[in-house]
Amino acid sequence: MKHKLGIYISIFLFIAIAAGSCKKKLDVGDPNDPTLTANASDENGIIQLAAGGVYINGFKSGDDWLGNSYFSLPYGYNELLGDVVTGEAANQLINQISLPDYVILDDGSKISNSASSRTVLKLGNTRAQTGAGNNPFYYQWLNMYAMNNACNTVLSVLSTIKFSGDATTKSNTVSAWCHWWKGYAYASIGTMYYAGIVNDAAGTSNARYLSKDSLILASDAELDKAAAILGAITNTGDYSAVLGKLIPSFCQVGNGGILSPAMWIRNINTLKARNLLMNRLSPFVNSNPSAVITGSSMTAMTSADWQNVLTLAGAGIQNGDYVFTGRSNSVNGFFTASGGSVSALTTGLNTGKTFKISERLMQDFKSTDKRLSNDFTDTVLYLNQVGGFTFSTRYSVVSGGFGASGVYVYGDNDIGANEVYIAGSYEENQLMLAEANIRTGNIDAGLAIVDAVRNYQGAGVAPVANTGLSLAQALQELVMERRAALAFRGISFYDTRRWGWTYDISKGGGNYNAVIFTSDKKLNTHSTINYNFLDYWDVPADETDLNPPAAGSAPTKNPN
Amino acid sequence: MRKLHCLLVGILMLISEGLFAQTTVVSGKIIDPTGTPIPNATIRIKSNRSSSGTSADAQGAFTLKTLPNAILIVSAIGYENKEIKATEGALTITLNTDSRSLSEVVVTGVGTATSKKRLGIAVESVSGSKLPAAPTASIDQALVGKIAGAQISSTNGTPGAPVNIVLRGINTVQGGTKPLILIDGIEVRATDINSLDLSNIERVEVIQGAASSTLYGAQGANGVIQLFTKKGKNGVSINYSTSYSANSYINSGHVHKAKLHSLLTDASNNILDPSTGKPAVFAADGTTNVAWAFGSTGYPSAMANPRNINNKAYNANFKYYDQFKELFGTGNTLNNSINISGGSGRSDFGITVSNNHASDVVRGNGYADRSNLTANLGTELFKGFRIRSITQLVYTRNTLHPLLGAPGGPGYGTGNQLGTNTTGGGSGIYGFLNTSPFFSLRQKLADGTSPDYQGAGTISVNSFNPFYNEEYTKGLDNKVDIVQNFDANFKINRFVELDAKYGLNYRTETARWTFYNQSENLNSNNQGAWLSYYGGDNTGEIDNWDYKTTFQNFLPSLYVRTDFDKDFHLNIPIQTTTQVSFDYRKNEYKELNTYGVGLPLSPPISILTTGSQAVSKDYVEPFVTYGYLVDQKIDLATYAGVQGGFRTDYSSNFGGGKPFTFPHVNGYFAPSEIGFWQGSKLSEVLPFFKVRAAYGKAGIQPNPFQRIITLSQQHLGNNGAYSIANPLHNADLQVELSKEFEVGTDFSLSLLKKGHVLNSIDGSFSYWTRSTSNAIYPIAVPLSYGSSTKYVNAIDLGSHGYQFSLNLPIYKSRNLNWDFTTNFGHQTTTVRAIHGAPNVILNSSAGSTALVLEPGSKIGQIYGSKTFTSLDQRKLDGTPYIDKSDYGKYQIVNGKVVDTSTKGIQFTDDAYSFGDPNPKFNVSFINSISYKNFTLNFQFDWVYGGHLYNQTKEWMYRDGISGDFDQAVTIGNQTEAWVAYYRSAYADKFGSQNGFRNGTKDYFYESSSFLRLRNVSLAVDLATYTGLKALKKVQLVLSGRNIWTSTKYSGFDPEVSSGATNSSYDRGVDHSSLPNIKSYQVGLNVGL
Repeated sequence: MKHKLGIYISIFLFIAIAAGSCKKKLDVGDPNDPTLTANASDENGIIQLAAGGVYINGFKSGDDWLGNSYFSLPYGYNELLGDVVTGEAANQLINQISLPDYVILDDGSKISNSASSRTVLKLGNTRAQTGAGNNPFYYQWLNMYAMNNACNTVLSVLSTIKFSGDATTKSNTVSAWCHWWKGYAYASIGTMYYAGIVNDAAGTSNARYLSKDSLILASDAELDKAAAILGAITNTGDYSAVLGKLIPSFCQVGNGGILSPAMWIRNINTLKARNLLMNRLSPFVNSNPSAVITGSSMTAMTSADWQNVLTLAGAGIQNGDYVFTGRSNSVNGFFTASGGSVSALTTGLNTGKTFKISERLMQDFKSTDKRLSNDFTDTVLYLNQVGGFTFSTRYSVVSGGFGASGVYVYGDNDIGANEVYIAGSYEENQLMLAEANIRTGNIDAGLAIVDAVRNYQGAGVAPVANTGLSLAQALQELVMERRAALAFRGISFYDTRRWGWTYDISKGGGNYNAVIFTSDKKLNTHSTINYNFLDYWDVPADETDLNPPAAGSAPTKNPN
Repeated sequence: MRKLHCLLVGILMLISEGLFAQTTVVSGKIIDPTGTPIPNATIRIKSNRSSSGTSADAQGAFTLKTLPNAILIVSAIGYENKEIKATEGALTITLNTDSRSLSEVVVTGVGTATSKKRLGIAVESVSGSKLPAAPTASIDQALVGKIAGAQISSTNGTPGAPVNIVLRGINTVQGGTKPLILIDGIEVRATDINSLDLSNIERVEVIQGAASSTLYGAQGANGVIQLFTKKGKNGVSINYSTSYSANSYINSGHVHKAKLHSLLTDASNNILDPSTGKPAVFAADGTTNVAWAFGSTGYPSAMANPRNINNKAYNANFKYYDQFKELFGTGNTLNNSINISGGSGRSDFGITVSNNHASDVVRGNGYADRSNLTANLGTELFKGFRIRSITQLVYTRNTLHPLLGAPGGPGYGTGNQLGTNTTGGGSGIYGFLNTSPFFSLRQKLADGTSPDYQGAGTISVNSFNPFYNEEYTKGLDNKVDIVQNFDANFKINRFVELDAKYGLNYRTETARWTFYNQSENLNSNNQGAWLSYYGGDNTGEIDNWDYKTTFQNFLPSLYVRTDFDKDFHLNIPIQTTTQVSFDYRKNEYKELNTYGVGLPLSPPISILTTGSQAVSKDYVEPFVTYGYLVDQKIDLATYAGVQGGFRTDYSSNFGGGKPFTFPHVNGYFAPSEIGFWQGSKLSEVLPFFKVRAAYGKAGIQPNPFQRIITLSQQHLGNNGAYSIANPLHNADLQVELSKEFEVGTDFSLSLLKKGHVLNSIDGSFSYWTRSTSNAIYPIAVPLSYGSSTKYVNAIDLGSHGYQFSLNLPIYKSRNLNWDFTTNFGHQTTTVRAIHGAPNVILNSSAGSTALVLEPGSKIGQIYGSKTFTSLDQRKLDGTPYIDKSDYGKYQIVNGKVVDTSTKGIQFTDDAYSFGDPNPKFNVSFINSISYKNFTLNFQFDWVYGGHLYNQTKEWMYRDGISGDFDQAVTIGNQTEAWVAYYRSAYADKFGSQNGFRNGTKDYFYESSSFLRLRNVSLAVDLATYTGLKALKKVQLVLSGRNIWTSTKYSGFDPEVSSGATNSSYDRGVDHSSLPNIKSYQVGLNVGL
């Protein structure tokens, strides 16, 4: 028996030791996901990271909010604040952020808002409110710094990557891509927030908050770096091969495509012009070209600034240039046709859509405008009853339009049909040029560009150049066209801000002769709207609470 | 005649005891009531203080020399003692099962079979016969209320829904509360506990604390539930059970939609379309357009207009529909099971085949069907060497519709999850709750299809018709589980036992969701409303979810037992048990999710006919862990013992790095087993008394891959794309450490010895305290880092609680027996510290309800605005909200400060914790009354002190759909059903009407305490009336489950929780979950 016992115990110990000796089997790693060192370490891998870092980290991200991309919510806030759309739903405060302080209707009656947008925004800027979805400051900051970090990550390892073919060109293409998007991210932060952080290190940050103007300088610097690299590229074959992979194939449609280095440089110039124009006041309140806004976080455009706009936009995007666009795709896209953009959330019958087209946008179309007849319908009234005394509208955006030939289409719910402008566009560039011309005394030259943009979008509106318009009338045409042509492109608020409309009436702001369709179906055409919006947003608490400003930092809260 | 003679001689001998010092040889066999031998029973001679006697062998046989006619006390663990007179010859002694808890033998947490009287830890156990035949026929449901200290709650009424289990505090944040499940000693990792066959369960043992679960390694930190399957007994028996139950949804809060309205009407009470000014009609797409009687002009919204009063009946152009009746019907459950078992001396077998078929209470929403085949075969190959094979095959088929509870979705195959999308925005239940009551859910469009979106202008905007869902989707889920255990056990001699267990647990599940092409549905086209999961339009899609889990556990053990007295003749009453085990576990989880979008309008409908296809997940998760367990138990006679040891584990979650080691120790002291006590009067009142204490540590590992820094990947069109992951992974993550100390007592109390009433009480009490340090959770990092969160060993938790169970025969006589058991548990968990961030901000997975984990607060607390209770309400900074000069504008209505002009309730801007939503205690009262052939069982569960955030109701406030809107309130001497009053609870915060819509507010934070008649059953055994000897049992059972609830909670069911199943913190929100069902059941059990 003792003998047997020994055998059994030996077997037992043997099994235990045999199983225990397989320590190597514990190193299972992660068979599913790539790593920076093992996968983003060659040409293909780094291109995949450079693409995903922009489209996924920058525009899709992991957070789930209204719609499903950067182009639905951060763009949506811009279009809400620009009074291009309205939203009655409470998600992410879209119902409150664009509520004016008060309106005065045609009959002189005044409707006031007990919770001003600026108060609501500031109250919402806590980490707890972010968690509850009530902090609009959070989203754009999150996206842009995620994109910036992804670009930093690519740049941090780029020099170690072995490229095939013309390695320098390929590496430089990726480098230009990263600097361009870093410039884009800093531009987005500096144009929206009162302060920001310039962070060129991967996976970490710093606590030195800089003013918004410094962010714009940082943006221009990154854009200049990109332009310098692009200016030196001669091997367009290898360049195009890389860029063709960085831009998803389903976005290489319409105005999207593989930009030549020259086109890209022109895109850079347009964005730099925007950086300048959008961050200076050029007030045009109540049809007054000389309006003055007090208490603004911006200074006014100087004639030198206008000259710079003329120079930059003059070297900006040309008709036929490819620009940076986004589109939905049936599978493997980065946003959906139904929820991924302001356009998608607006297009369809107004009663069933998240965003409703604003009467203030519609008033900027001339009655003869083919865009109006082709793209909008007034068959169903949206009479707001659950918040928002400016939200009711007669209009809906028709998906795909009614089919008029050559007329610009604002929304299309078919997968892949709607084009989202990520950065500058031809129309934006031309209208900057037009405004600079008008502001610098070349009224008809400017109006001719307005006419050209209208023609470009198939508006079919009678030309206004050389019709003897005054400066105020010319600016009115410019303003109307800018609002109409550039709707849904994520910049409408920047326009109404610099024109002074979003400032308190007591500070020289306000929107006059505005159309308000009330929920009891009264059409007011000469209303006064006092938006009184915060001009630049505070840094979100999700940053400042966890990364408190170091000594010498710029203020992170907008005092204005 | 000879027997009579012997008896007479025996009696004479008895009389003359002491005069004749003769001896006699008694031999016999000890069996249980079924005739199966009871091994190792003890036979003691009464009146012999030295306790001399003998033990029966494994076949129940014994031989003993004693004085003739001496009184023998026969005892065996788990059986009632019996006294017999010693007579010569072969005796057959039948011992009755002891229903009292302290007599039970347990193995969980101690490694080797031990009487509860000799345990240093608390082990709860319940025999299969005491588990109610719940209509779900699932073990998890049956355990509700049965385990003292455990919170087991049934939180969703969808067929196949898992229960929430918290055994002892919250020990990990990301890992949830799910305990380790063992079947006959082997972990069941792949198969959900609710898939296992209830009819096949012999008994269940539960250990709740780390002190004992350390035996089972890192996986045991949340406690262990061990299931023992039925083994065959001598002879052959056949049992057949069938039952049918009719189920309906619980609505203990009388939830309904407002029967009155405040819409714009004409003089005839026709509801008007504000666009046309004429009576509203339903458009061709099923929608309509209505408006509030008084618009929003001058107010932030029409509902904030105090002129709107909910007092008009639906008695003209629009009717009121009882949509609850339209949607909910009677679900049916059919259970059948047949068990054939038997055995001879050396071998035994038990085979059970069962089926459970349950249709949903949501009309037309399919069914869940489960079939189990179990085979338990054991044999003794040669002396001392037994092998056993236990096989369970489970086939589950589920046809619930996608978004109405269908299994599937990303990560679903990891187990014990609720079918996706039964709660929350966009789901069927939520959508129907938020449909205005003047729509019929049965409304059809001209082509006979249902509308998806039943909108009415600016109200009913969150509507969604579940019948549209049923028409345009199909769900089909097939799941096969294999649970195979092998056990080879060799008792080499009385010292050494070798045991080797191997378990294979495999699960494969394939779910398919089909969303048909909806592009011919007018409502879908007009309203841009449709159903899809990945697709971006209404042309339909097919999603395939494919999950596979393969788990293996190999567990060889060596036991060495000694008895110093018997084995070494040392005359010291010491017995020792040494256990050395090796435990190897390997799990592999695979998930492959594919989909195609764009379906044709006509068949064939398959992935092949979709427009584009994609793979959304192709994932494999390997996990390997192994370790050594060394455990030493030393008992001092029957009155004291100590057990201690350690366990060392390696884990693939830490790669091939260092192992981690955790100790455990426990001991007991039972003075009642010492001589001085036994002779004293104390022993008459307190025949058994034991104190015990235990301490242990357990480690909870990070989830796989959290320590490996990776990029995320997906496709962008045809190209792959990498991106920076969020949360960021962290190579420095350490194991989470859980420590526990437990102290308790087990006792028997003899109150009224003579008579039938309350003659003995068995009780157990335990107090425990435990702490977890380094719990892993994604902690916020500054956004400029490029991600928003990172996995960090961030959270320290502290828990404590106490529990007791009492088990007493209230009345006992030949015909009438009334047994009563009560199980009580209190537990609470506090967040002690958070490292790396001030707090963790969370949202309920069931919606927007805000949760915060904050140092010093109870876990799971909900944060939001408070209702002003006085005019002097102050902000966090101490300043008053209301200026004294404005006091006249407010009034206190039902304890709430209300603005008399806006009718709005005033809520703070600041967010506060609402307190701990978790219950203060759970207690159950279990009664079993048998009278002759009748048995009446009933169980009440009382859950006290819990709270639910009624998010369901808050949403129903949005458009005035909740029935509360009919209730009049007195404001400023006027009593009306003010719309603005209720609306303010949804929308307002101070100074900001409409300023905080759907904000979390204490208005909707309600007590969810409840008393529920969990189970009542009346059984009658008709076997004796049949006159057929072959029939051992013909039992007819009428039962009801959840049929009565007393609660103040105003939602459907106070027991629901809409958070993730077994979430550590998300337990206090009710957001459109399907309530539990109440059932009436009739069953028949036949035994041969």
